[in-house]
Amino acid sequence: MNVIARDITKTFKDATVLDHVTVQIPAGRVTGLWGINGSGKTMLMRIICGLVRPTSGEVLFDRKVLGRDLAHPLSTGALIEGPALLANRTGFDNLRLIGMINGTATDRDIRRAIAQVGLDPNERKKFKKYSLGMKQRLGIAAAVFEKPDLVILDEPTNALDTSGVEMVKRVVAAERERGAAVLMACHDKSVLDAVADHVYCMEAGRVVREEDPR
Amino acid sequence: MSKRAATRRAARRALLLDLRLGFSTSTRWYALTALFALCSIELAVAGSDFFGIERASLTWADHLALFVGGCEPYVFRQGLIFVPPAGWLLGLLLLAYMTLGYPYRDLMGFGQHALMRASRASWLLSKCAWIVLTVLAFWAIVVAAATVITVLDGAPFSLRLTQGAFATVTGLANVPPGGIGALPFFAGMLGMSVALCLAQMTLAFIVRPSVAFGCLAALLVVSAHTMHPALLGNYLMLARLGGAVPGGVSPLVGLGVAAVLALASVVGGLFFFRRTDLVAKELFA
Repeated sequence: MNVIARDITKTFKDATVLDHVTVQIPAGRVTGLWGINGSGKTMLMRIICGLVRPTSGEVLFDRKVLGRDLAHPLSTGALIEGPALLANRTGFDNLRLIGMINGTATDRDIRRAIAQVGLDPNERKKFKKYSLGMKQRLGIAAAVFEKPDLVILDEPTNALDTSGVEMVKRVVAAERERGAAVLMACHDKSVLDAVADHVYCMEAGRVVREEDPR
Repeated sequence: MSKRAATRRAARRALLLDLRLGFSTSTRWYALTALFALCSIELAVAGSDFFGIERASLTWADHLALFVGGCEPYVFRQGLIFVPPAGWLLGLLLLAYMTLGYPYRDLMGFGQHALMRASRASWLLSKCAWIVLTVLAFWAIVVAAATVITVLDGAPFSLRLTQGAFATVTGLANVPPGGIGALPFFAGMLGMSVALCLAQMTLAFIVRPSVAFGCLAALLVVSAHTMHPALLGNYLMLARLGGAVPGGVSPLVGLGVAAVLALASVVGGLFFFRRTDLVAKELFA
């Protein structure tokens, strides 16, 4: 599945958060968004996920327009601004509950994803007892366990140690190998240089530069 | 499976998930409801002694209705200040609070997973269904509490409201010896509580939950103060029941108003929600 965010502008009252941004997220490739805090990366991701409506512009999933042809994004897993999971459930239970909606992921898929991010699938600790790093890892697992066609990761290396950063690189590479379209935002350019096929550099809501690091 | 069928299936599953999560987070509130209902009804029934009413003469319907007994409308008199009926107000605010938190918390958290897998309309309708079922569960618990007290008092299981029940909350009622049928009042009460909770949810999304709860609380207090068909809290109060109390409100009119309010809340909510932005912890319309 190929995703395009075309000519996206987003304004809130007097503030222009995104200004005519176009980003292409092809299948089987990792697309990076790089920029400092406040450059518009997260807002763009929220628009692609359908959580925010653009003031102008459109998001296309295989040429179908989100909000017109599609009521919600197609086959998308996302980690945006931290994992939104249930505090009083275990990691496995959280993913299982999310998986209930589409009904496509098996228990084995869930266990595999949890193990892939370096957590124990049999962990009985509730999510609220997880460390920040563990929460972030579970959030990444939640984004990939259903094998979606589009994976969106917003600052996935936050709160992760060196091994966690390497894990993120492995997961992203695996998703690319699987044929997913991956969109990853990171303020650490070295991480994007290691994994991304194409990087959009953002500043003050605009794409100021594009790079092909690989 | 076609994409449309898959979307419909996802919407159904999102509803089931909502019901499961919504109820599992509310168990302590149901326990509190049971305790509150038992205390509130028992206090009201015990108070009937003061008015010379025999406990055993109060029917099952009386016990249930006394949960929302309320008070007479306020009439200004020198030195007499308005005091809202605490039991009535607390009981309804408990229901309002129970239905307030989950939809908004879900929207800002776990529910975003559902919003990316099913449409916004199905998410909102799922929340509406959850609210309806929560209100039904609340009243089912109150009914159970009323039943327990009826059994313990050896009172008759009748659907007639008697003069005795009205006498404990108002001196204005005039009920025929055979009592009056309780079903219209209960139906109006149920309908209006569902409608007000749906309206509260819609307002919570448009403005914010604390404002929505405050508006509902204000409406209830003003309704307790003044008897008027436009003040919707009157339909939730035994002491304002038309047919027993002069100038009282008609429960059937209340049911009609509730239906319109519920529909407006759902339609208005859908209209607003489909267009709004879901930005972390705030909504920008």
